[in-house]
Amino acid sequence: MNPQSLMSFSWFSGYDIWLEILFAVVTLAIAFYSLKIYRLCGQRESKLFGISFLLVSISYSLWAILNIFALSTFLSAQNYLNFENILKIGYLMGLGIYAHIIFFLAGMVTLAYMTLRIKNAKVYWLLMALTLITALLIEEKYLVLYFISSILLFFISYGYFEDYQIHKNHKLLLSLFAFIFLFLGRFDFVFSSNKYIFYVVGHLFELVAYLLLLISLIGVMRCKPKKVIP
Amino acid sequence: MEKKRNRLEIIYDILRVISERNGKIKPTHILYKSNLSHQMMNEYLTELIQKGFITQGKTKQGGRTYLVTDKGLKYLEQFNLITNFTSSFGLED
Repeated sequence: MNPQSLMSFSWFSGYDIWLEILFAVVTLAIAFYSLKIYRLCGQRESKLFGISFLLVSISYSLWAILNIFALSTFLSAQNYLNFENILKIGYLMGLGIYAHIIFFLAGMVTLAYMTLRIKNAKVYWLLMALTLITALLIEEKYLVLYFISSILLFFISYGYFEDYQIHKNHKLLLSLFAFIFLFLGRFDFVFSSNKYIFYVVGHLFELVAYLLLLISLIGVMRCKPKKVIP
Repeated sequence: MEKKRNRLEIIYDILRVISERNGKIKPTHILYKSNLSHQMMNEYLTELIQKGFITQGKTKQGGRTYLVTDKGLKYLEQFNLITNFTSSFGLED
């Protein structure tokens, strides 16, 4: 985080943590339901979808936890904010974003693998290795990592668009728009290191995306089981 | 023109047919009711046995017969939930 971001720290900090917790809960609920569907029908796509959302949920949880640490350090050191404290806050926030991105990328790779209907485990591990090694070795970490997740989300959104064209299913539209908003949010984060407002807008895009996914999930949860007489 | 069935719908149709005549159904009857080719039906039956949705038994005459397990019945019960989830989140094949 740059000094400008630290100056603006007070007005959005706290809200971002609540949003990250909300995202973690929504994605965990989707992962739980998807893995429940996998247990019921043994469908490969449900398993991959569940794993990807579980990874995304872990990523938001880690981000929120480390942001809480950073915020509490900032608040306790507000009256004597010295160089050491700024470094500590920057380190915690950096670590949080870094952990978030690694898990988020792993989740997005899994989701892209499922959405693009690839059925070759070698391709999955190749994609995963290339993405994570790039993420670990590159110097401009935030920028490149947000770019990679944007590219993956672009392909995921396109996969959903193709699916919608085939099935013409209105329920799929919510998911399509959700992934488009997620893509916009991730792409917006690319500029967040220069202007703090992009960090805020990125969170808002993601809020819309996860609310759309939550609406879809609530629609599914309202389904009643059929009575089957053995 | 009727919409092409996806894998989950075909599995549902096979399980429903078997559950209607549980323990007394022959492969020819499943073939007729499920509207599949012989090869496709055998592939689905093998998959359903592997996943624990059905078990294979023998008739008095020594022919094959099938039974839906509890897991298979659960699938039939929760089919609405399964299709709703997969169609909402783009998991249909």
